[in-house]
Amino acid sequence: MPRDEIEPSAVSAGRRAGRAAVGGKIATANRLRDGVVVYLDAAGGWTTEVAQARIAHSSEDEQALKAALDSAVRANLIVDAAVIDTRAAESTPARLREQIRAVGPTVRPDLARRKPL
Amino acid sequence: MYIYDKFDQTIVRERVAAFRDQVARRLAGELDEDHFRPLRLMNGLYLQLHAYMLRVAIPYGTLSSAQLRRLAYIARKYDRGYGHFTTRQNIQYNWIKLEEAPDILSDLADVQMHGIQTSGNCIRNVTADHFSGVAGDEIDDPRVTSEILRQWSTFHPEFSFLPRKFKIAVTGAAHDRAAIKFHDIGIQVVRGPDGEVGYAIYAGGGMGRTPVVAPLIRGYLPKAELLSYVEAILRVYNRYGRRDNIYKARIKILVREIGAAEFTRQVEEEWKLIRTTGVNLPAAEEARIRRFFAPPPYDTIAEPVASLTQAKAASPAFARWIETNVHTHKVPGYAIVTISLKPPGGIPGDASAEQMEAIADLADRYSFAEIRVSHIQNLILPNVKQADLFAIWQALGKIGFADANAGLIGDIIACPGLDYCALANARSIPISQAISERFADPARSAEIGPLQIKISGCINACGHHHAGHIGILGVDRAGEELYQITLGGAADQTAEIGALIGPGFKSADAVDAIERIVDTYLKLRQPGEEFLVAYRRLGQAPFKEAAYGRA
Ligand code: SF4
Repeated sequence: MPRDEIEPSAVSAGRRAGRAAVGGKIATANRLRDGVVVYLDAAGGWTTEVAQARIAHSSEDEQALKAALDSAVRANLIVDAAVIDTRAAESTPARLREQIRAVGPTVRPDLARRKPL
Repeated sequence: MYIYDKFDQTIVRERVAAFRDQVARRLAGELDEDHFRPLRLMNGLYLQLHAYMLRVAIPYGTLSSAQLRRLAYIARKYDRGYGHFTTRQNIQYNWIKLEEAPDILSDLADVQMHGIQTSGNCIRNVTADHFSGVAGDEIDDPRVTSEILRQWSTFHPEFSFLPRKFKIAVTGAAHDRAAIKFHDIGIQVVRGPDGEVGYAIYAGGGMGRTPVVAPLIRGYLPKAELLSYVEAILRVYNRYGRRDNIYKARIKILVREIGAAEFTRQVEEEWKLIRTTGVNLPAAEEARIRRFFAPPPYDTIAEPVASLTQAKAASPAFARWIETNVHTHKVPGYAIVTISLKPPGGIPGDASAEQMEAIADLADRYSFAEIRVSHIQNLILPNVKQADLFAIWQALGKIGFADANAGLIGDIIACPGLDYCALANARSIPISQAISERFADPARSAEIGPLQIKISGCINACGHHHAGHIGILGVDRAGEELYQITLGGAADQTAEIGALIGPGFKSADAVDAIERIVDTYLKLRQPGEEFLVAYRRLGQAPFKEAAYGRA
């Protein structure tokens, strides 16, 4: 079984998120047909790469994210839609839970979707 | 083991066909998620952090080698080459695509498997002692009782929409290896006043937010009256269980609120009304089911087995494995093997497709083609000749599962936690990995002796932390993972809920705290005294002081 090379504390919520200032917002969901984690991108499509996510910095922008999620839910493209916080000025999610969704299980780096954030 | 008859096979096939149609309608947009979610959950399909998760029922933890091979095939074909064995004796796949789920269920139906009764407010997949049928201390094989309950509960119309999920566990021996007192109903096979076989019935146990050790509600129930009595319990619960509040909806809350005596009185009253109405299983049907669990054709073998004695003398590592992972079989010359899915630093309960196939091969060759899943997240070869143990140990070494740690500190239960689970507050697996690495030295862990560590990533307690000698609960405090430690829990016949020692630890500190607790035990124990016994003698104080570094 592959080993987790990351010490448990190295990606703890505390260091990554606890004290980080909340930045913008991004829209995320799981794709209906296969459950894959997706983010709304700048072109209005869905990307699996959190780095490509469209970042909202104003409440109008945030409303636009919510509207896009609602219409994709109604179009049966996505499920479990949510607008989430990012760290300042980046698309990196603020919360550990969302960081794990973006990357994959921390205990299986061999299955990571991308490099750790 | 039980083989489906035409009726069993038909209802499972029909369910697959119905689900295929439901998935097609969902993908075509004819069903929205609110309508579809309960339908997929009825087939064990959850949505987790990274993908859909499929939970496949392994009734009372019994698998044939053909079934295990099929589970490996599914891991490889539809998932990412592995699966996770759970504390419910089930297997979960983490990377399932909705569009492929109907094909998976169809492939499972080929080997008489499915995801029915692994979700929802129904009677869930029944669990049992993983040494069923082979343990020397057993009065009767709990698989017979479990299979009767499986058939009775499957799609039971009256009990398909209970106030909350409902879990039943069965043990055939006084030594409880199935944690029955932490279940909604716990059933223990006992002997009655005249030596006849019957049951002791516990009800209202559970873990989660409100852990409760189930009280005994009937000391002796004649075997033939099992179904009417269990039905009476379910009826009282179905009528009075709290449907208004999800946190109060389990039977344990009802039993606690009205008291065990009053609950028992109501059950007995209901039972009087239905015990003669034909709910009980006819003796002929019991006998038919029992035949499926007839002992395999054992050879007559004299003990001691010379080749085993020699192999133990020649290899201390093998002797250590025999000591921890091999258990007494009821038939002379045979043994029960626990295959530890807990290599130091590994993910508890995870097995790759290749590992599953290798174990299926071992079962074919050495164990009458049968495997068990334990709620401790290990696999069991229940029927091996002692003369074959050395070959089995060597073969397990090739797949990384020959660790001599069953029942020891490295044999940790850990739920998937925040690495996979949508409900989690903190990760479980990395803490488990760090502990099993810290105590990886086999000599040290043998010196520590029996010690059960159980870890959950949220209060739902799938990792049984309440019942751990050392329990660990991950919590989220302002975005930081913290780990609370409980001590003194027990899952066996001396069931107890662990007591919290104080504020949680950061992940980097939790393992040090555990080590200080263990060192304190080593320092204070009397000769031969196990951790739990020492803890019960000494109380929490010295361990708590040590954990917080004040000793
Ligand atoms: S205990 Fe919580 S985190 Fe762990 S598997 Fe259960 S629901 Fe998920």
